[in-house]
Amino acid sequence: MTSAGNTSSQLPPSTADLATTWAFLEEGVDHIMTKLQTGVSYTKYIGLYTVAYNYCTSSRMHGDTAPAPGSRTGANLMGSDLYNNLIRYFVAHLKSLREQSDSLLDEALLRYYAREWDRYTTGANYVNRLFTYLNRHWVKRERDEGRKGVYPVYTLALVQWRTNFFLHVQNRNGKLAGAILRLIERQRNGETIDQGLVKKVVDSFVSLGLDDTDINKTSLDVYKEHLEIPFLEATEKYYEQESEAFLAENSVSDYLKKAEERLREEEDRVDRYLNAETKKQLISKCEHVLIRQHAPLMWKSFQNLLDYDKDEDLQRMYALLSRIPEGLEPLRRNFEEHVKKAGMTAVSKLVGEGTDNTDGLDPKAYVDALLEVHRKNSDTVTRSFRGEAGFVASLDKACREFVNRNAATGTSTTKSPELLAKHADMLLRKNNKMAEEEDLEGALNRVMILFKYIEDKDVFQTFYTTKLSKRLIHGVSASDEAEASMISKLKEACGFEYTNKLQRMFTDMSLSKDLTDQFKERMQQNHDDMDINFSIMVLGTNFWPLSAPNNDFIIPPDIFPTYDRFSKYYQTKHSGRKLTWLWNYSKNELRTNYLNQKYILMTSSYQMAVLLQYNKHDTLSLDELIAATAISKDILTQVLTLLVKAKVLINEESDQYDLNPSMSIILSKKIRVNLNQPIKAEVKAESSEVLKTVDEDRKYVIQATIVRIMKARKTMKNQPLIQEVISQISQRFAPKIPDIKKAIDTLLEKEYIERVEGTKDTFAYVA
Amino acid sequence: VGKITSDEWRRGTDALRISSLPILATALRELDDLVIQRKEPIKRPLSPVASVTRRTSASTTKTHELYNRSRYWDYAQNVERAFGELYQFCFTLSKPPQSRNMDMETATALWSVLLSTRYPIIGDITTFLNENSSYRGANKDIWNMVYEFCRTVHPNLDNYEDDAAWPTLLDDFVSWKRGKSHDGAGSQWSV
Repeated sequence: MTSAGNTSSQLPPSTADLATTWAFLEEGVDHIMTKLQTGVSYTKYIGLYTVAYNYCTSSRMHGDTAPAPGSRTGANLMGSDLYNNLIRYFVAHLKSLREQSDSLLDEALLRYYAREWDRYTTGANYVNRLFTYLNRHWVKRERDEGRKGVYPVYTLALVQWRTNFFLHVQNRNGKLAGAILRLIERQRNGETIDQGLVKKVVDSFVSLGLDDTDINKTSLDVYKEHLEIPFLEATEKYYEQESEAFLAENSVSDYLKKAEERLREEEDRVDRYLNAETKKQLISKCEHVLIRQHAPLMWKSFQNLLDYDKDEDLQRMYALLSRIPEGLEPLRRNFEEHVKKAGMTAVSKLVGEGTDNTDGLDPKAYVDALLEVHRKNSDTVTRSFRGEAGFVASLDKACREFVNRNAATGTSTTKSPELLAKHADMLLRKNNKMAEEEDLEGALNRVMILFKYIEDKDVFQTFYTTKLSKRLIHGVSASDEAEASMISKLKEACGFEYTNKLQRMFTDMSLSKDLTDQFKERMQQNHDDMDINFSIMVLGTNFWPLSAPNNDFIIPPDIFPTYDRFSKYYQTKHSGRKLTWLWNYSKNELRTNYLNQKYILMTSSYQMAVLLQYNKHDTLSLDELIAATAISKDILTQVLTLLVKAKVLINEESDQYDLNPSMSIILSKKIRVNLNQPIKAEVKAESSEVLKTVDEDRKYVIQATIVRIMKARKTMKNQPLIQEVISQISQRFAPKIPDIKKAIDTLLEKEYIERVEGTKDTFAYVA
Repeated sequence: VGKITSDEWRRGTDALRISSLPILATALRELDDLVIQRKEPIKRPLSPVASVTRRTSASTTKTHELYNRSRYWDYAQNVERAFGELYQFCFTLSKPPQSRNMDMETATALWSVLLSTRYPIIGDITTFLNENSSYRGANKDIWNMVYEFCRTVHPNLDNYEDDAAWPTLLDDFVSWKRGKSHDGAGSQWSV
């Protein structure tokens, strides 16, 4: 038996002792571990397996070590013997591997390590399977009993590799990791390296991480300690130096490209050969070194990029800075300032070019200038900043600022809404060059862009209402669809209440059309002397920004019957309604019979009243005309001035007006002559009139809001009350605090609210 | 301004036991000194050994008093409260019965009488109101807040809070006054 024990080819009997058994097994194990490529026959493999199995299961006791009954069985001791022999084998095996590696460096070391690792792990896998029985019984029991230092054979092999080879190499200044890092650095410098090799070695770092409590889990301890930490340090150092050096010689634009590229590379690096766990830390480290460290420089060059419209660079800078916390904030602030300045400059340029006073400012030019600034920067936000919400907010804030306050508006917040409303009016009028449907719709949408930024939306509303009423009364609106479209846009932006009046105005218009038709029909039945063509608009007082003339007016006898008939007709139709005749808004057409050529004069009612006087007279004095028409002197003189200018009348002596008998003087080839020009005083008064209305309305809006709030809250302190009022009203306009305080004063006086006794700043609602 | 019915008059003089104009004059002077001028209350006539013969002392005090001063002593206990009541009373007394407001002229006159001894700043307020005729009248809130203002705001206005709930009138006054003192400071600098 002893002689047979030394020959590997012969299977030792199942009762063989340890020395014999191990000699057989060791030869087999060594074969597997060192020259597996030469092959192991199936019989041999089975033989080895059987011997290991037999040894473990043999119940034979060993010499003097008698097993304590019931606790340690023979297999336990047998297992332990085999296990310890395996350890001794691995230690010896690894020692020789290690010695061969001592002289190797860098790539050669890595190649050697990787090759041996492959061989070792493959072999260990087979060996592991040889000792399946040992693993399944002895090792399992030992571990179950709490001996954490005992592993299944494969794991044992790894543990041994770690202690006797890996740590041994690593302990020499991190020789192994250092070799990897140098290879990576060469790659960063642009050389091609064997990535597969790096990956293999790195993977071994991961495999060597063992969780002692649960061998089925791997831990990244070894990887992190030996590779990740030095790798991150090296990365930081590398990019610190590189970025400094790069920026010293290149522009920020180039740097942005470089940084972007580097970040992409590093992400790829993790995917290619590092553990995925490293990605987060690596990227955040790179972001810190490549972006954070140079953020102030980027912030500084931002303005320059904006000034020269460097879209791609802006896009890049945005993308980079969005990766670090707070990176975009300075850009947003800068951008806001930039847009604001652009807006201010655009308007200043416009005002400077035009006439000195801003009264003569062309609404279209003004609106176009504002829109252009918005469009350009809005494009920048979408294109370069991916429409990011913070930049949108900056854009909005800046636009709100320059739309409401600029060189043209001065300190007045009402100028912009006025000009915008006037521009909208021109768009919606007939004869507008942009009248082609699509253009008009687009133009109206652009009006809405600015409308969004207008603070005093109530001023816009008032001007818009006034202008709309003129368009409707004079029938100069381009199209009902366009009007309706604009109103629905306003409604969408500000709610039903905002456009309520506007919609009522349209209703009145269509009702008036029906009414005119019905009246005509009735008149045709009852009278046949209708030689006057008559149409009427009956407009609700509350919805139309129109005021009755405050001067008297003698209705010329020529139209009186019609006037009288309609008044009566209307009374029978709607008894109790009061009709106020707005002569100042009415218009007439007169046919001339005193000239060779027949003309149709289109006039205002006042002009008509004056001209009709000349049916009986050829010359009249100012006083006579006043007496005949009851129009106040200052208005009448203006009416006359226009008629004189049109050469219908001649004013040769002061206050004396003669009918011009020779037609050639009306140098018009047209048959229809429009004399109905607006009177200057009316035009000028219009703006201030509108603003006065707005002011008055605001007082009531503020008071009503306070009452509404107080009614709901019962008591409220001064400050919160003011805040609440502002937040509720700011949709329509920006209320000023002194105005709110005045409203509070008024309500205290009217005893809608009172100061709570014993407090200075608390108000209570008085029911 | 201010009407007192004969009934009210009679009840008042009865309670005070005032029967002649000189005594009324004395009573008013004493009240003025105490509540408005803030002088020390007059000394109670020394009652002979109060602890022993309380009854007699009480009766002697009464008999020696020129008029019934029990109200007066009341007021002397808490002059501040007494003044507050007087101040409130003045508003109701002086405004037209149907109106919520008192005209500014009456108000400034009353303020001068009531407040100027203790709060010289009321002089500035009246000057301001005379210069700016846009304030038509003093309503109850303004009446109360002017007093509150005098009581709580330092003469140099350094503790006036612009965003507190003061009526606009006082906001305007403060900015007027600050503007003035600013000018003053400016001229001092240039000297």
